[in-house]
Amino acid sequence: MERRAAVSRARLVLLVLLLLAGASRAAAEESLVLVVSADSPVTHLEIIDVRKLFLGLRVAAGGQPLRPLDNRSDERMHEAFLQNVLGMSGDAFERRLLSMTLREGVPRPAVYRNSAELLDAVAADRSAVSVAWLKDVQRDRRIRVLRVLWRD
Amino acid sequence: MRHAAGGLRRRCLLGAALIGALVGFGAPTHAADHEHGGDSDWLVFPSLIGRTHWDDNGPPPSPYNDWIKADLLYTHTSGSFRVLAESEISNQEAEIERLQFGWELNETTLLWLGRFHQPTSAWNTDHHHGQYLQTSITRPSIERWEDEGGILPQHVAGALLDSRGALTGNSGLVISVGAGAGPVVTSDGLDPVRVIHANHGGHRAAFSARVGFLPDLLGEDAFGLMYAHYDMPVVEASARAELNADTVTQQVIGAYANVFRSNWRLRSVLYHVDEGNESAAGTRRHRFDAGYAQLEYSAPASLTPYGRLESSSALAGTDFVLLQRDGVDVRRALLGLRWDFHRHQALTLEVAHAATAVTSYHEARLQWSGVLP
Repeated sequence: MERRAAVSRARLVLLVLLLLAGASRAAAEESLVLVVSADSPVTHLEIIDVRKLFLGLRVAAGGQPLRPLDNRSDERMHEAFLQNVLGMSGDAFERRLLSMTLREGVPRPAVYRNSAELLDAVAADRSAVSVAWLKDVQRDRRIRVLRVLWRD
Repeated sequence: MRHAAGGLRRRCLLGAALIGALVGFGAPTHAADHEHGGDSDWLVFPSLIGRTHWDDNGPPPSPYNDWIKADLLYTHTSGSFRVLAESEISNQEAEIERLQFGWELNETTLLWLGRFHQPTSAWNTDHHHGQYLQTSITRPSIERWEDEGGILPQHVAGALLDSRGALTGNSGLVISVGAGAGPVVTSDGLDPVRVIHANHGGHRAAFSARVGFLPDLLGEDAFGLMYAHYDMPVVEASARAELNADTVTQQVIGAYANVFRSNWRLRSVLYHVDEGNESAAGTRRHRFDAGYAQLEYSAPASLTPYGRLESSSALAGTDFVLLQRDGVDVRRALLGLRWDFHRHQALTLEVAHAATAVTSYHEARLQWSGVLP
């Protein structure tokens, strides 16, 4: 009898551990997505266009130049964007932006260190393009997800 | 150009006021909730430079006597309209170096009007006056600004067409064509059209063009060709007597290659210049070549050792070079070490041996440079 109870307890503990592990993995699985305003005319952007846009080249949609907004509210997200989308280090990115500003008069993308402020700015500007964690925007009706850029 | 100290303060204030007015024009009407960038942006490139030299024979040349300077840059975009203003203020000068008003004709092409850096200088169109963004302290002798004893025009007032587009696959093509009023020749050398100073007048046509191939449109490798033609009147009697000419013409053809592999960077340029000194008695022609190669290595600990070789042929024999009182290096070899530290700051040590048309000398420089914000 006691042995059966011990086995049941062990199964229960195992079940709880499995559930915790699953929840933990779900939480760790984050997706970096490209976002625009729900009113944006942009329906699709290739990765090469994302790179061009954030490195200072002109990218337009419907004749309207797009405006990149630099989301630095989460250091891990910024690193993921640099490494997996732009393919360069933070120093190289900074230097590239400085160079484009000096050479071609391209203002650097506005930098946001607060996620809520960034999403407000994207929602309010039909030409804005930025990146965010999927979990931060999937319930925000003001924001439209264009594509997944990277999955953890 | 160098100016008497009396007027320097007034010109500094005027330059700063012009940049300030432009900043005010583009300032947002509400408090921004983000850092720099957006529709407007500004940068300041301050630098402090110490220099010592010792000479093999004769008195030393004296270019690069700025020991403290700051380059101020302001940009603003509104739809397809763009404005760019760049001013350099130092212990020796204050000038609006670039003042450009641009219109984006399409996604890849921009038309600028104003005073710009002519596009045939591969070095200057990459670094402009942003001292921090160039690895070395000095720029190659053939790329010097007019007021540093430069012998090729660098500033032109007129129209500049800039285009950068995809070619095939990931590769791209850059085309820059500039046309406008070039410099005149004085006893101090070349004198371009100025924004906040009086002009001599008599500026004539200048034409310059560059075509570059980019193996990766978003990369930094670039290979290209340049062509320029300048027609420059000699506006001072003393200079006319020294040069025995009323007009100096220059026809420049060149090629450049910028190659970036892993931690290595190579910048190299070669120019061929056909110069004519024209007077009532006829035209004396002189041809020379000048070029350089700079190799840099990105080492651990944010250190960048680098070296540069500059050379020329027949450069020393031109009357126009001898007119430059600051001296023009006909050969130069240098080694340097740059250390990037903190955020956007660098310390650089550079030692060089150079030869002008009349002397040779050694020098060492130490520089702190940075960029704000």
